Amino acid sequence: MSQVLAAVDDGPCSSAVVAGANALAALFGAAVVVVHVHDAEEIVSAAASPGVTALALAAVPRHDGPPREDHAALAIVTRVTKPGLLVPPDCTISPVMTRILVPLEGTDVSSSAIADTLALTRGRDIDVVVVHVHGPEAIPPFRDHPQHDIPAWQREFASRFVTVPGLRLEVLERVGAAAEHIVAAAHEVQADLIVLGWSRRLAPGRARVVRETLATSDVAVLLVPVP
Amino acid sequence: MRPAGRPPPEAGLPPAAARRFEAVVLERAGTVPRALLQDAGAVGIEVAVARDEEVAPEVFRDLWLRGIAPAQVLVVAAAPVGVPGVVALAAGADVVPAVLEDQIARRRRGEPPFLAADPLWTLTIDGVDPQLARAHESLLTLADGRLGTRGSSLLGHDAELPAVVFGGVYAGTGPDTTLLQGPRWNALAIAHADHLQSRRTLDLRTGTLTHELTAGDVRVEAIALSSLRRPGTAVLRAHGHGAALEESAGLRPPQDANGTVDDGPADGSWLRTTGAPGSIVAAVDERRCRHGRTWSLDRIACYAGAHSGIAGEDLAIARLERARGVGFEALLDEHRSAWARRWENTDVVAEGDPALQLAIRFALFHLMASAGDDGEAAVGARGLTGTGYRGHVFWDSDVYVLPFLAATHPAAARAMLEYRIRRLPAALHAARVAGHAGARFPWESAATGEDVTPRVITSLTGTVTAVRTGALEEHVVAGVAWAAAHYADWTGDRAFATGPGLGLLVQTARWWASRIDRDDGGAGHIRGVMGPDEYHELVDDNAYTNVMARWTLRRAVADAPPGALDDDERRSWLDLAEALVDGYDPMTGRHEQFAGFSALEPVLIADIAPSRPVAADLLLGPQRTGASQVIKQADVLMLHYLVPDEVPPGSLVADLAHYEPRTAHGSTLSPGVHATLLARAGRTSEALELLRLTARIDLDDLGQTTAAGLHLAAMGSVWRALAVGFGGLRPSGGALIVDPRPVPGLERLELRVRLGASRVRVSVTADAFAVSADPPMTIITPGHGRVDVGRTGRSFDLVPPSGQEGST
Repeated sequence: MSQVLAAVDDGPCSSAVVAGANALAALFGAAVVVVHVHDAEEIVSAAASPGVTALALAAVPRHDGPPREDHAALAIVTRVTKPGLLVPPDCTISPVMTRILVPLEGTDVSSSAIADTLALTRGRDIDVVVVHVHGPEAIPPFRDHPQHDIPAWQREFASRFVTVPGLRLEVLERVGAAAEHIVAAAHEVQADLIVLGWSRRLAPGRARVVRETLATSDVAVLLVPVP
Repeated sequence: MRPAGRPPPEAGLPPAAARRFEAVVLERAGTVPRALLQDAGAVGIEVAVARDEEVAPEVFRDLWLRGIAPAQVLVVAAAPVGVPGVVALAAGADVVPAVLEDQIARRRRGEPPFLAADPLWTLTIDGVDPQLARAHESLLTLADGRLGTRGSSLLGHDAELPAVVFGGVYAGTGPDTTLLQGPRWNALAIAHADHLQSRRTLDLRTGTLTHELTAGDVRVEAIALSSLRRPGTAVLRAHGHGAALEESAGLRPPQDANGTVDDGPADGSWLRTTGAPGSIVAAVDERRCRHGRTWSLDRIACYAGAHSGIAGEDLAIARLERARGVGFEALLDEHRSAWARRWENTDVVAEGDPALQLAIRFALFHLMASAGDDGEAAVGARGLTGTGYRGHVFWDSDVYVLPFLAATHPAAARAMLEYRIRRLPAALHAARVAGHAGARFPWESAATGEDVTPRVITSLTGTVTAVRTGALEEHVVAGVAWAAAHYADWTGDRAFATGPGLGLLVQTARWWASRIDRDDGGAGHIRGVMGPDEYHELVDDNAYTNVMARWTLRRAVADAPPGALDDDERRSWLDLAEALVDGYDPMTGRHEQFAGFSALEPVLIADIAPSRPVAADLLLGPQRTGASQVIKQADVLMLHYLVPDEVPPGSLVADLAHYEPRTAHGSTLSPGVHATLLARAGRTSEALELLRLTARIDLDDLGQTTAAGLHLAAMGSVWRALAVGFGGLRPSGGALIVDPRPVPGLERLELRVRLGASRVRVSVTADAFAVSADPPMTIITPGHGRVDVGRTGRSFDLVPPSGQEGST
């Protein structure tokens, strides 16, 4: 059976991390393995185990203090090729995740990575809400009649970028700053989890949406590495 | 039958001749046994004789007019024949029997025609790309004006949305009314097909979709058509070797059924879907044959639809019996001949720009395929290419699609108007309910003629918002009247103009007369409307609405014969028309879009977006958009587009200069209108740029909604940009105004239209144009006035545009 690794230290988020790992494991049909770790190396090493499907850790580890650009949890998950669940300090974890928010930028690569993760939820009783945020530079050219074009565009977006069959799916569109709308949408749809693709690159200018989402979200965020 | 002693098929034939041809052209027929010629004729092989190079062009032209391209012709001649594209067998008469034997055998084996993909006439899609599969199905749709079948792959794919629809047949009621999906006829089941590579080619010229499936030595070829000659009849021929055809019912239920499926008899000979109020039934005949290592399948499916109630299978079966009697070869021949005749009278030739040429023909093909010739034609916003817009009928059909058909194929335009005529009672009722007189046609219309505009939408801010177009876009009423008058102007159809057409004009005029308020000073106003620019929802005195209302009142009076209107009503309408404000300011020389527009925040699109088109309301948000001068699509400019005689001379240039930079083109209807008007104003390079953009909207899936169907109105605007914008063609009192602008970079533009009984051709080059007409007719052209032209045509020098073009 595959495993979700709960990496806990003795910080205040540990119980939430374990709860998050349990909920994720239930979603993926996996078992939970709790490991007490003291540094990043231990987490990376444990996560490399072939049986590990995903790992969970505190979004802001105890030793880190407030979120910074060189966020330690992020720095850890950059080194892990598996999905990493980052649990915010003040987050309430639902024991059974039933509503997942999936922000999609609308590219093949990121959608494919997310699809692999969503496929793990097959057979679970969940609702998947996809949110696409149009940046100011990527506004659609036409909306002839929104009453028809919005549903048509959303159906097509889902067909192109959510290729996992059998999902109960809803698509939201927003316009503006991605992270802001992702966090707002998570609240709006009462999501238990945000599933976000990312490139595992923390160079300046990269992973801005991931950083901003983590900085403001009180919903657990599953970061899915995109090749 | 092959007499004993004759060589077997293919024996001795060179490889180039070893495939199916649609015609065989000989130097002389005298040496060919009569029985063999009869056999060839019996299986539909066209055998023609071209004695010399003088005759050959005529022979090939005759074949072309039957939808047979040179590449589908085999010439057997001792001397070369100078027709490009043909396969020529340099041989004497002694080889002709072997050639014909081979061709007969191929027909009997069920080989489909060979298609040489002409890049100016064909659209090819290789494979099934999961990202674009649904858009490709829309692009490759086959339709005959009644039945529409998306161009799905033969073997099906998870990413596809196959659908068959029947024009005007809906499921559901009110805003939920949606085109009903009918039984599917165009799927095959082939054993171990997963590895087959597919290629689909839509031949616009013959209205056929060719499928090729290959892998190693496995090859399956098929051709599908939806008969233009007998609408509602679909035909599929498949032929293969190296792969087994699996047993399958010829008809399948809809993949995304929105009605109930009545399985019909156990033998699968018919199938019905019922969606209340509508119903679609299909009957099928399928013949499979084995020929050694190859197999073939001929499938004919005939459809009947009922707008309300149950579509009886008897009608579909009766149609099937007739079609089966005709047989595949004759069905193919009559179908491609029908398409060839259509093209002969409608084609637009854009020499020197192959990409634009194909895009133009692609647009014209789908416009022609979307409206039938008889009864009523409910042409939804996406035609018969998908279920987008739920198949609802908008002003798109009256104002954007109909003009092309009125000027090229009037029967289809008349059927579109019949759709409105039959819903006049519903429009009269809607007007009464609204407390007014006359006819209030709905913004979105379907089976009943009641308004089926969705009432609410979840906007991109996540809030549920009222959709106000249904209540406020009254200008659709004028659009219906304009379509009726436009049809009458092009066709000279007096019976229509003095009968049902007049009814549309009079009742829509009554609507406007009852909608106009007079202020204390006597000026007339129409308050509380939405113009074509939907970024500004509730406005007073929208110039487009008011001027179209004025035009309707005046036109109704002008067209009404003595006694049709009482004198009081006639006088009252003319008085109201005179009193109605139109937003025109002589000081600026332009119209104000609506009362108060000039006071809004003066935002240009260049200030807020790097490029157009752009859905600017998404960028600015609805509040700021509504408070600004940013406009979605042509609004004031629609007056110059539709009723140029109703606006002051010279106002086009001023209106264009003012509104064009404020227009986001956030509607697919907008760029084509601007292309037309920019061309009229002499700004031809800008016009061409927007024409190209419009022509690529679906081919490049610019809005990512082509999956739901093609943007038919935008396609109509492509034709109008060419015919009206660049061609300068307009009917005027039974004559045709011809005032062309050269298309930059194009070697030649040729337009074909029909005015009254005359078939007219206009050819425009950089410095001249020529016009021919059969039978002769009068044209009006700047610098020459009224000139009679006939079959031989006349040429004129082209006067360079001044750049100060007013309304023509």
